[in-house]
Amino acid sequence: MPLNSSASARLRLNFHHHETKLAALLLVLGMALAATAPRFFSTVNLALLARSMGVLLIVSAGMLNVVLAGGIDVSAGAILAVVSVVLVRLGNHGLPASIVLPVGLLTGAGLGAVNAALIAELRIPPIVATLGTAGLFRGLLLEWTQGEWESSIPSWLNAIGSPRWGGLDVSVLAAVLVMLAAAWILDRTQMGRALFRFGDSPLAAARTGISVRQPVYFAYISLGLLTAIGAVFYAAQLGAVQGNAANGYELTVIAAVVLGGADILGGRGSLLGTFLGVLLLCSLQQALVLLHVATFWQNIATGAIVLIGVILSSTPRLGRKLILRQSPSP
Amino acid sequence: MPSSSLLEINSISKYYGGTAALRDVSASLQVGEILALMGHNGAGKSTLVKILAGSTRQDSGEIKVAGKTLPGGVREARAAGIAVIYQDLSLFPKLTVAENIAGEPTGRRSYSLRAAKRAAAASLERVEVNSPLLACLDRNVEDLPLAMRQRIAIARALTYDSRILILDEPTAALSLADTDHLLTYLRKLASGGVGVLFVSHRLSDVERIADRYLVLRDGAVALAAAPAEVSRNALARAMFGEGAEKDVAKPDRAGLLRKNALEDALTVRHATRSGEFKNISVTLRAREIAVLTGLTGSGRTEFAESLVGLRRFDSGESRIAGKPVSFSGPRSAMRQGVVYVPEDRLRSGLFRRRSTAENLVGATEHLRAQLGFLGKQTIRAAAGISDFAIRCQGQDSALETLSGGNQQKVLLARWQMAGARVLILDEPTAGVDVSAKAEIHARLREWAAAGAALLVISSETDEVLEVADRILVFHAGNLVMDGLRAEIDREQLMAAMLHGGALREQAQPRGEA
Repeated sequence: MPLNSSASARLRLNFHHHETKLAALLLVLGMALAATAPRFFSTVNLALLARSMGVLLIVSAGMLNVVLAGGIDVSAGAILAVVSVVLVRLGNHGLPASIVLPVGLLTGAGLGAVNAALIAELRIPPIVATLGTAGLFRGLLLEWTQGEWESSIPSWLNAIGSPRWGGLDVSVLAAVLVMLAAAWILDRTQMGRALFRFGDSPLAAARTGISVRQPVYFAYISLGLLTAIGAVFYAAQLGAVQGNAANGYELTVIAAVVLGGADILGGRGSLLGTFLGVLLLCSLQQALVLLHVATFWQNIATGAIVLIGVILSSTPRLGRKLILRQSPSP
Repeated sequence: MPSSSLLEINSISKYYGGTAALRDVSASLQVGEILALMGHNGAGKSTLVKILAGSTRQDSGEIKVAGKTLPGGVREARAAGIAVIYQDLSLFPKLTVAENIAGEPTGRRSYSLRAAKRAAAASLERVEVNSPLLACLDRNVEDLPLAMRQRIAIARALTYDSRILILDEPTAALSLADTDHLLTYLRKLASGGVGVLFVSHRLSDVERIADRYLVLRDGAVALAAAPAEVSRNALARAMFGEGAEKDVAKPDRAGLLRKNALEDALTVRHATRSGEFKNISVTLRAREIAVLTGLTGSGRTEFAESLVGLRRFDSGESRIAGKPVSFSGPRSAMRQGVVYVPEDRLRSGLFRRRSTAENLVGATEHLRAQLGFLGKQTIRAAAGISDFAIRCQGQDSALETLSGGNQQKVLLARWQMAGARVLILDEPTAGVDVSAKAEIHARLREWAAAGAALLVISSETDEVLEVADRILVFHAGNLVMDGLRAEIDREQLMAAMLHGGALREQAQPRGEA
């Protein structure tokens, strides 16, 4: 097999990049919207879109860490609910933001650490461990709240959630900062690269001296922490929370990450892809609302776009497998 | 003079459970030396490599690098300058070439893709002039051919001042040209001051490159000598062990075979598969045990898999009772009574979490089930038919609770019940104890006597000589020997396995193990 490094090879490689395909998919969606719902591109609507993306982006950046390390976390929705309720309840008891916010973030990180410990120390498969903790966290939360709504939120939290800067709110700024920080960690630190290595091949990682625990703890704790940050804006934007908040939210998060080209088996994925995945999902939701499409059709469309995205991402690999099968190795 | 040795291994022992993987092994490696570590499967080579790499700790003994005792741990071994290139290469397929070469965790917390790329390029340039890999630093490893991947693994090993390079079976999957390139390259590295431990059982490679031989057998040093001091004969004996006393074939079976005209069960003519085996013509006869042997990589397993349709012949054909047959896979082969029992029984032979009874009927249940229903009673009844001596707490215990020998017997019993007429068994006694082995051998003979044609794949010389009626030897994809057991002695067999031909006695004086 000759190895070509020519410009054409690089061009072809780029065309095969998942991010390029997602951008193309977005472009198609954009053109369709320009034709059917030009209102979509109004400043007001775009600001709304950005606000709707904030929380999902923040939590997805954390989920990307977990997926890169070859794991999955289906307790993220439960963690989001727990932290939301903790924030609002403590705030409503009159505690200041300077205490409530750190407690909320520590709660998220702590619950992530529980997941990490189950997976790294007891060697429980991630899907099983987090399925268990999801039920546990949610159940304890419902026991604590007795199903009651917290129908008002403290004023400082309300201020965080209210639109400013031409319709944008703090969540948009926070999402930008989180993405920048996450990109720096993934590309610029040994821990970030260890996530890729460990997720790609745990055995090879161990043989090059990478700890088999550290990446797991880092991934799940960072997801817990980012979910807690997301919970701040979630509660702030909603203005009321209860024990059943964010039910099934983890599935949207995982869908966004996978749509963004992350390999569910670990070792492959990018923040840019995750961003595009979130953008695509949120644009679609927003557009369907604008077009007055019924809710169940929104679900169908979301499901379909995730499948299309994943099939797109696996096609070059499928193609290569076919080629390999046809020509026996020398 | 401890300072002159680059690597010193002092009486290392390692036990797994009760069995000794390494017993009091001592050796040394000098600067610029290529030491060939040889031995049969299970001789302890990989355990020694793992200990040197720091991923396994020895039970006793110590390792010194340039006079300093090596503490355990992968990072510690790496810091001492030991780099291992594993047989599976242990690369990161989804990451780029640059990251694979230069992305090893260092003491620093920060990381830069650009710096990694620079380091990778520098490392490649040191390794070879105009490396073709320089052009694909940004490509993923999974997109590159095997020979390239091996170069990546070598470049990675040499990125951070490695003084000791350990290669585990590096040529096993390489073409001749690539092997050539690798050997030349290793010699160049050695003359640059690197000590190389070359783990292999390919005699032709070892003879070309080694400054010294170290042969392990059953976990102990069987031979340590310079190539000039040993003949090929002595080397082979060190690897395979003595044991000429078993050289006489069992007279009763030999007589039996001559009396009964053997009926052809499966005939293969001119079978070729590119890169794996060439122009193989073999006939398996009812009532006969043919043993196929050869070194790992000789193409024997690939050939066996082709017989049941797991792979395809590029050309050539198989016939059963004179009629050409072509199998699409084990299921279609089974319908014609041809069964393949793979070597890795837990992964590809047995359902380890299911009960013994269920495993016994694993291949026949679709025949016995009524309208697709299969009750527990049916399973038990079917399993009861088997007369194999299987020791277990009962037929309901999970298979994984059985010993290796008993697991293997379950697997054999299953196929006996399925009424197989042609049985292809890959390493049926691998990893079982001596008594289970004898029992399995006895069972194979009974099976043959009952009219089945058996093809047993084995890499153990003793086993080949013990159970075979006929011996087939593969070497580098060629069938180099096909003869009656009674007419073949141990030396001829070993010669065929090691280098595909008659054993040539070398002019040098013999050095004994």
